[in-house]
Amino acid sequence: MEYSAMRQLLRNTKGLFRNFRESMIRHGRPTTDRARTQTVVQNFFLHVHSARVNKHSLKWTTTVGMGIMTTALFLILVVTGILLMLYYKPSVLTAYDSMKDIHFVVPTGRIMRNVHRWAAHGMVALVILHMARVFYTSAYKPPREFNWVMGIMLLVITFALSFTGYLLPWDQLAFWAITIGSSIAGSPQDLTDALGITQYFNPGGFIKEGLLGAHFVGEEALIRFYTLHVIILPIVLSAILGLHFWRIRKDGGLARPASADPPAPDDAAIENFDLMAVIYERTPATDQEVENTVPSWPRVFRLEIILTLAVLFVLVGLSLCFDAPLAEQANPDVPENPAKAPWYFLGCQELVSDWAFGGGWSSLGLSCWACF
Amino acid sequence: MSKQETKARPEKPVKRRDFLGLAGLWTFFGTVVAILIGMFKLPMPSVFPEADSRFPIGKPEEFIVGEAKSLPSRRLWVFSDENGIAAMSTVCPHLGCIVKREEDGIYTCPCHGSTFDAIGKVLGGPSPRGLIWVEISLGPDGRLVVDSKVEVTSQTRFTA
Repeated sequence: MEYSAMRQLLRNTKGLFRNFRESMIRHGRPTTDRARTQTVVQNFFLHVHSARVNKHSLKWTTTVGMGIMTTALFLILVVTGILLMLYYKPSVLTAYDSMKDIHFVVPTGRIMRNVHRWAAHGMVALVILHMARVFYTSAYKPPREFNWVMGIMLLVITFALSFTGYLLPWDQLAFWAITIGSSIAGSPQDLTDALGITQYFNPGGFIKEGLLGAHFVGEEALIRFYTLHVIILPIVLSAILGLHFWRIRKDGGLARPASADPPAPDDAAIENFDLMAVIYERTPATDQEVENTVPSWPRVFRLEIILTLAVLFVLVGLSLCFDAPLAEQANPDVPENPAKAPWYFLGCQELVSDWAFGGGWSSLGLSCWACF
Repeated sequence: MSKQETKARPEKPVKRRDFLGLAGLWTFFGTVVAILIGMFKLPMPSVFPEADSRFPIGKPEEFIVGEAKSLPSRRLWVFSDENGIAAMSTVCPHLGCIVKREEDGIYTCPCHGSTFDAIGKVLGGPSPRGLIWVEISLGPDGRLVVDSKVEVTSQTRFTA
């Protein structure tokens, strides 16, 4: 009795890992197409994917994988951002010092901040390139048109995230860029001033005061930008991102040219025949793959992993070579010369050099309208 | 109202049950809208965290006649001559940067390159208007008081 109980314990201990794995994942490695399909459909983390995918969509040249890379960048930004939150203190007195701490004192703080900064630049770039790809492959056309609209929302939120994140280091660059940016946000007041209706209807002042909580960039502005940057905008972005993925499937799966799909049955070609005979054979359509498609497992997931690793590799490489900039501490009395917006706002900056409202708001409005 | 108009829109009597249901639904929507209005009122400040726009800059005799004095923390240049004392804001009317006085007496904005002459008139660049001159008055304690929110015509001088 004693002996057998001991043996049972040993056997259980030996099988512990296997038992744990089998209780967590209730199947082995999928070897048949049917099992692969079921894996994708039944797994919580995989079921956002479709079970099968068109071969053409997997070709490197169809999408360049930029949507996946953008998503990877967003995930990296979330992870590094949360880590930075542990040390960053959103207050005028401490923000800049905590940035210095992160850079010089916090273990791995420097590389985390560098990765966060370069990933932010990369995300803006890849969102724009992803949009260009969708445009040039006609993937915005019906039935995918609403996903294009959601893509524009994601673009705007990405810009908003980069704009709010720009203030947080509280260095000279941040302070003056946001001073200028918030003046642009308040520039509809120029128009209402010109029309003489500012005291009745003042959208410029409303936006600026709502954004800054004051008439200048200070403590209130910093805490508002921080809240927007770490909570509000990421939640909104995640929600729309989820819808964006869901719509890919609802709108017909990953992008591919129309020629990649089997031709739709032509109704006119169907003629009526009388039943001549019944043949007891296998019906021709069974056990056949849907034309031109393969199971998502493992190809799609392999691609996702490769692209994520590639993005991570590039980011870490960049972060080891180049530090994210940190200018002197913000000084409201001495403007930074020259006060430069990040590269993706440079066009906007050149335009506002002529006319704040025209260059800032009109260009944003026009480009959104053009995208719609 | 003629009879024909009433005919054109046949009235469907709302059943009592439907009425209660609809009333409940609209009450719900009304509540949500009221809550949202309340929520979005919160970020709009009713009191702004800022220093008083009126502040003393010193006794008139502290400003030597014929000299210009910079008050960087107040964002002002104060000019004094035989006609009186005047104050000009150094905030660029374009997008809020601080202009810098060059050696030849003109002011340049480092952000977008606006330039202003010695009395703040636009010489070039994107600024839609010249630098703003602000009101100077005499406070009860004999010190000069500037109100940075009250704009006056260019070069308006305070005379005791």
